[in-house]
Amino acid sequence: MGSFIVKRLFLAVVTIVGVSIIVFVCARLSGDVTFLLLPTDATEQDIRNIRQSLGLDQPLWVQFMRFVAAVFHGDFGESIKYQVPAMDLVVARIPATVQLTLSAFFISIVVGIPLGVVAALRRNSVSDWTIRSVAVLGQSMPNFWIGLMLILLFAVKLQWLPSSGRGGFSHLILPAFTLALFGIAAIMRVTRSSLLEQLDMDYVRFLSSKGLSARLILWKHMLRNAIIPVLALCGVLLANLIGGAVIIEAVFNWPGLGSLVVESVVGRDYPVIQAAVILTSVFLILLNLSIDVAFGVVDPRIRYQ
Amino acid sequence: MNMIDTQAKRKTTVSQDPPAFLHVDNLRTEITSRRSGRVVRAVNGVSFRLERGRILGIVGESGCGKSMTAYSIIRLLPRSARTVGGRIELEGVDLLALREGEMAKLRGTRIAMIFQDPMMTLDPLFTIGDQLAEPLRKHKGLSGGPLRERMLELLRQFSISSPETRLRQYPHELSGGMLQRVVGAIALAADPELVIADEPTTALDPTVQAQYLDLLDNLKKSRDLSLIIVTHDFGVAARLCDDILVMYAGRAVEKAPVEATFDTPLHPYTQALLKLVNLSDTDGGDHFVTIEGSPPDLSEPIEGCPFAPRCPHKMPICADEDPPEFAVDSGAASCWLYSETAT
Repeated sequence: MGSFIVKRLFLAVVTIVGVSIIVFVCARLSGDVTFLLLPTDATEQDIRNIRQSLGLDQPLWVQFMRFVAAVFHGDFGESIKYQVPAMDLVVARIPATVQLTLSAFFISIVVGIPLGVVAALRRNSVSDWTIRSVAVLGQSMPNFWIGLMLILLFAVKLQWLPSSGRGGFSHLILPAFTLALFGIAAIMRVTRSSLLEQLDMDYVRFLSSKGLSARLILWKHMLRNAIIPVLALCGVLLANLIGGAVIIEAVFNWPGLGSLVVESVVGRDYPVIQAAVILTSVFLILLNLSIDVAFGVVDPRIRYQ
Repeated sequence: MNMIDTQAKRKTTVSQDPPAFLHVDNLRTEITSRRSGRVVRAVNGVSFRLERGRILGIVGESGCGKSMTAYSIIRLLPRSARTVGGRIELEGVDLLALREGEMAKLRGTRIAMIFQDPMMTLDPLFTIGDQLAEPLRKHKGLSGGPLRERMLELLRQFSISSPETRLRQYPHELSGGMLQRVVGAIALAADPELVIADEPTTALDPTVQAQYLDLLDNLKKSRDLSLIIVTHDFGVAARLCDDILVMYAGRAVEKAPVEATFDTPLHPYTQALLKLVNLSDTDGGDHFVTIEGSPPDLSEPIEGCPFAPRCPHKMPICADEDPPEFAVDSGAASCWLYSETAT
């Protein structure tokens, strides 16, 4: 298990280096920041000066090396727009996004898995049919639209919950649930099909042939085997949720990383984009690492590889 | 009309015999294809008897219904299959009439099962010890020290090396032959009287196969077990079994003691199968031989004897009427050749 984690950590570092290169190059492909910073009547000299002061007159690879060197000192550069350290801006927004995505992830699992189990156990019944129909709706309707409808119902009509902003627990419910809908549907479907797949497996029949009760076979053996594909889905789902959070944050006016990134891309604030994307990928990689560890805990075959 | 006559005849012959340890009577099991909804009559009126301490081999080509017969007895059919008729009596109790809860009480304690592929038989996520402890806890009420003692004893009985280590290991850490021994130890943990083994040695290496067969034979003797071995391998059947049941197209076409089956096979199908075995033995087995033609489609109604289209001794009656079972010497065959009057 120890060497397994070390290997994963090494891969994580490689991934972060790759992400840095891609985001660095892509951010600069989006256009020249100088035109956004200077008045329209700026002279050639003004442009040269500001490019020099930002280090943009250097070749791309020199810029990148400087960036990497600075990052190793914990310096992601200054926001071009706000003139404060980019990392400070990003870090200020992180708790809100982490709270939103992790809540949505948690809801997806806690609601999705039991629904999948119920649907599998009562396959082809009314409850199975209902759960699956709602899941198809949940996966096919755009979540910003669902978000708006939920605001209309729970905030405007019923006035049970606040419509936007971040505050107490009540502010979290609508955005987290909206973001989680896709995850609930995805996890429910994989849990259902994976559990049904177990039913005709030899090991389940052998357990029955030992005279064990159906309940023990289900809860101890089948569920644990069925959860492996669900874990695999969780990694993809997390990336999906962080991407989805950008939109949901806009709908619910949630002060998270998503709105900051959108603003920075539009303003070509390279240091902020870089800091936000790299930090997000570190977050994602750490979450995926914990999923890999969870794999190892559930499945001895992976533990010993 | 003739079908009904035949079945009636079978029933009367059966009920005159003294009660057997296991008595399967006119068993019928169907598989419904999930896609097309077609119904395959996988087991179509199979009857046989098994006495205590004997080993019955069910042989036949793949798809003849031998595995479905086995799964029907312990009532562990796949979801797509179900038994639609007949009786399965274990010491006079009809297993097919039991509620699922009552049937579950018999599994492990009276009837046990060994599957074809040991790699697929055990739960990959739990240790050998964990899976061996389950039947002992449930049926024998063992725990703690006595449980561990009993587990080690069982593993030793199945000639499993370093049993202490095995208890801590996971299925993927053991070889196929070793795993099949472990499966045997788990299946027999709660002292069942009847063990059904579906192709127990097919997934094993030849040398390991022989050892496993010897092991089963020894266990049968020491525990007075009754065994049903489902196999397509006549070598396995000859080595281990007391009686042979040959199946074709979902029916039992021949039943006889093992020597009789090999010395004087009755049914033309058995004769053809044995000829193939002998042929492939003499030229080293690298020559692939088959019986001409193919088995009938079991989702279509069959008129007459199902083997008739491939049979070298075909008579006019064979195409029209399904042969009943005729007693011949020590065995029985469902073939018109043994009728005094058929032409």
